[in-house]
Amino acid sequence: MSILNCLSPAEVGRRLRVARENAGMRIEESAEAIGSSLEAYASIENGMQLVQFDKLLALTKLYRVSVNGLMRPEAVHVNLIPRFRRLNGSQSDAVIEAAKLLNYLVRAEVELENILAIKRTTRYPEEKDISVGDVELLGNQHARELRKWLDIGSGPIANIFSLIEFDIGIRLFQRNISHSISGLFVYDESVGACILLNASHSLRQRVYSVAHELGHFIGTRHAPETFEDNERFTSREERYADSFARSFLTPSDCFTDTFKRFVGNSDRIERDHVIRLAYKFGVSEEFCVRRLEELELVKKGTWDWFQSNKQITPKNVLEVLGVAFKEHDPAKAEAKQPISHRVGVMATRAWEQELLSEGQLVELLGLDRITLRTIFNENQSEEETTDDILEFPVR
Amino acid sequence: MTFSSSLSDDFATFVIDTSVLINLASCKRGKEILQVIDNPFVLAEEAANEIRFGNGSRIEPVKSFLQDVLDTNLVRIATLSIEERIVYDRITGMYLNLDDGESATIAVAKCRNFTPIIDEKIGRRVAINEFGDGRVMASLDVLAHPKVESHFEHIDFRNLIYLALNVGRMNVLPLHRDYIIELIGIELALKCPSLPNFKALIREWKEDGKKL
Repeated sequence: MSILNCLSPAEVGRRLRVARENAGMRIEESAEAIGSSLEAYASIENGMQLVQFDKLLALTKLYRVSVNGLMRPEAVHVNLIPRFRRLNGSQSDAVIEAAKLLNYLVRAEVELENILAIKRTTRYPEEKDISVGDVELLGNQHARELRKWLDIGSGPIANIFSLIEFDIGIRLFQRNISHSISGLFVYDESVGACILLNASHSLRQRVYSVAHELGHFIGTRHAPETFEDNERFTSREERYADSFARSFLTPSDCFTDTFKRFVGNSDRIERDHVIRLAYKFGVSEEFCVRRLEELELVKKGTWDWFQSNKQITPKNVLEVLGVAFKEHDPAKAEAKQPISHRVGVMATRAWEQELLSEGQLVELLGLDRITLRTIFNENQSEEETTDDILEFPVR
Repeated sequence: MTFSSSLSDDFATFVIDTSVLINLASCKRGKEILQVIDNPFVLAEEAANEIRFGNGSRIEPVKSFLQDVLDTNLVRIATLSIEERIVYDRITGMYLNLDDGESATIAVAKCRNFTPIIDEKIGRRVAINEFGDGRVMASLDVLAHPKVESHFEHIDFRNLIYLALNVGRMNVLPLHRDYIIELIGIELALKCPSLPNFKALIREWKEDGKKL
């Protein structure tokens, strides 16, 4: 049996199109590579005609994918990269590289979940319409509504990453990418909502970035989004996401009350107030003071004053917070690993159960074999420890 | 305990999978091993491409090694013929959990009557289905070949097996585990987590009161 019989011509065509787009190639180049006319090649991608095996081999070489990776039925083929290419015309190399990484991470996670029959629970709130009205007010209102929907009250959020990943079910990845990018958001019908955060940024930067991307999930779900460092929020969508993030992280009533408790009967804001308030809400000191300015709890220009007088430095923060200054940030450590622990465990199980071979996993995860074997060795099951008590109850 | 390598045919041509090349590169004496064994070694183009175009920090020394053994004709690339492509198509269609390199290795071995050397368990099972049990070899058959063992000083021989395990994370068959442990010793074996059932092995040693 030929591998071409494993899929319908339409699915073969769709996968070839996705592979071509992911490789950044034009249809003319593909047609030329296999000695076909443009029309004949188009009919292959459209599923009207089944590609011949020899031509399939030539195309896989051209796209630098394997025959098995392209054709095995359970392989996940998502075209996230071209969506970012189309965004605002052309994109920087850094954005395309980050989009490629996100595509890799999503494909690997989804395929491993599918092959191991791991069901991912999602609980997506409805998408909001932001086409009409003041986007600042809408962001504020939708942030309050989401907090209510999640039933998390109005206080500081202990772990926004867990909230997004486990309570809502968005696929969240934190990896080291170009410093100029804070995060990427994309939604695809087949894989759901996905966010990639820059793990090289500080924890508190990432807290804001993920809240910003959450805003895009709520208000502009079907448009892919790149959040760049020092981005100016000029578009309606970006101003909405920024307003959403500020209100979601620091709801005005609770933030105001907490601020008043912190300053007590003092008639001026001090460095310690800022540091403690920022720590309480898990946001940066700059975010904290700018939010206070926005809520008119301090004068406009307060943050600039702190900055120009070098009032808030890492040394000051350490003095005020002590050991609490060193915040627990496991994502930063995990980002230094070639793949996440969860994906490593899933890959090991798939290999142990002979669902995927080492070579297939090498391609799927973008690793070399030695690194992959190291991951297998770290996660391998202890076959001999098979006491009944360790088995899961039958459901 | 001695290891009886199955690569005893002086006239056979061996078609190696990606893993074998990685283990040869990792043991640091790969070129000498290929020279000493003296049989022709080939690598299917699909298997070579995994290394040539592969990602990951640890692939670079393997890329250099591949180029070196190709330049010195110690290994030749096998490009699939029309007949081999038909077999390759059948194998990729029948065994969906095989990667391209393994499928091509088996197709080349099948059509040219070469001896396949494959470590991966799925690949080995498919190859055994195609060829029968006695004809499918593993990396250890190359690294612990009698000619290799007699060519090197014992300490160098031991070291190359250790490096293939420790650096290359060589997969070995369960039946070869005891031979390896006896050869490299417990102290070095503790640094080789790719040995079959490694975690259980450590636990057994602890229970036996071995000083780890």
